[in-house]
Amino acid sequence: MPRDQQGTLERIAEMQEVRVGVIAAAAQSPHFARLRDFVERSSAAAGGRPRVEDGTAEALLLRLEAGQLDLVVGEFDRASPWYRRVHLLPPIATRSEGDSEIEATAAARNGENGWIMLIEREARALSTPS
Amino acid sequence: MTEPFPTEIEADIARARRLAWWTIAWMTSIVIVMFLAMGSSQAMRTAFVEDLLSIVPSVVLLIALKLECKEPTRLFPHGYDRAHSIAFLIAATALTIMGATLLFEALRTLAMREHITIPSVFLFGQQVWLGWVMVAALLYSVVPPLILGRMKLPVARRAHDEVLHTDALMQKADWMTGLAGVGGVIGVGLGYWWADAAAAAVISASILQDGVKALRSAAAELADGVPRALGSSDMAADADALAKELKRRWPEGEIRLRESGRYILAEVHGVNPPPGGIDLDSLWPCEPERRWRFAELEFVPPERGAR
Repeated sequence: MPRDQQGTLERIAEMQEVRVGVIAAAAQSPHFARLRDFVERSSAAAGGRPRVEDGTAEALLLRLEAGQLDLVVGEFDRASPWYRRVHLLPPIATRSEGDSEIEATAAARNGENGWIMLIEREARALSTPS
Repeated sequence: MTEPFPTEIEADIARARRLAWWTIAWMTSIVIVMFLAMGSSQAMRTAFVEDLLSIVPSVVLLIALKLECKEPTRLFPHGYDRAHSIAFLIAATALTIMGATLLFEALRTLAMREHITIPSVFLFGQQVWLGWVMVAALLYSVVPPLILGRMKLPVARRAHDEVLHTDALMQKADWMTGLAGVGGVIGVGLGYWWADAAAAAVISASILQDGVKALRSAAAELADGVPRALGSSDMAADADALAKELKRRWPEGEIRLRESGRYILAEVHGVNPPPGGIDLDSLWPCEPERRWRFAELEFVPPERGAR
């Protein structure tokens, strides 16, 4: 408990692979190294290796929602409407951009509660106060 | 009916007041706990809204009891007994709106196949699944309504208090919601995405049914329908017996009964008032301790015609 509603953790254990989407713009983030660490640690904890693909935030989040990806990492604005459609983890790191607070974090598919619990643990281990 | 309350039910009214205050205190504490543990669970949100709204009947009961004690005034020469009927309508409306809103929300979640996320929280440095926190909050929310609801029912019956009865129904809905919510959260924990919304749908359908029943009775009371049994749209047994007794005494008359708050008012149409007056207590056909229910008897002479 809790178990995933669509069996993400089971699939990762079976395929030994975590399908990760990295938002292309994240490479320019000052927290990119920490996001990479997060992906490595989460994949290892779930018993898989990351298979990474780049793309735009919109395209990757749509694939995450459809169950074609297990995780999307990058920089997010919590005011985004995506916040309701996927589960956004607490920030691993934050930075300010104008009036917005940009969070370097990860998104998981809603309902995958076991998987989300695992990555939340890894995110917390890496997070620092902004 | 201008005296505060009949002696037979004074103790019950005092107890009803105390229970209402206890309900407000306990439910406020539950609402705070539920709000803190709510997360995005549909069943939890259902339980939270329900707990919040369940304070309404107790509040309106206290207001109605206060108004009922007031002396008649020039603008309200019949006194404020009907404040109780209005309070009943408000309580019933709250119950109905709550049931309908929650049912709609639960069905929408099921139709949209929304997979809810219950994440984790860190308490004292330990990662805990929020579902367990929710289950603890829900179990806490079950106990006070279970006890208070059971304490209210006999008082409501003795004082024929529809508001208190609706309040007791609300408490029943509260603890049922709590238990179903526990099932919903555990179901989500086991990987069943629909468990949470399905639990919320079942609970809210039951709340809606109770609300509609109460609303029908409240509307009937305000529309001068015959006195209704508590929590039912059927005629109250004591009112039925009284109607038969009046008919036996004045077979040529047409008997009309209605309810004003907790009291029964009777009219005998087509009959002149008997000389020397009538002792109402001698006409009451049921248990003597409920004689106070029969508050007024009016005779409408034949020449007045039917209306």
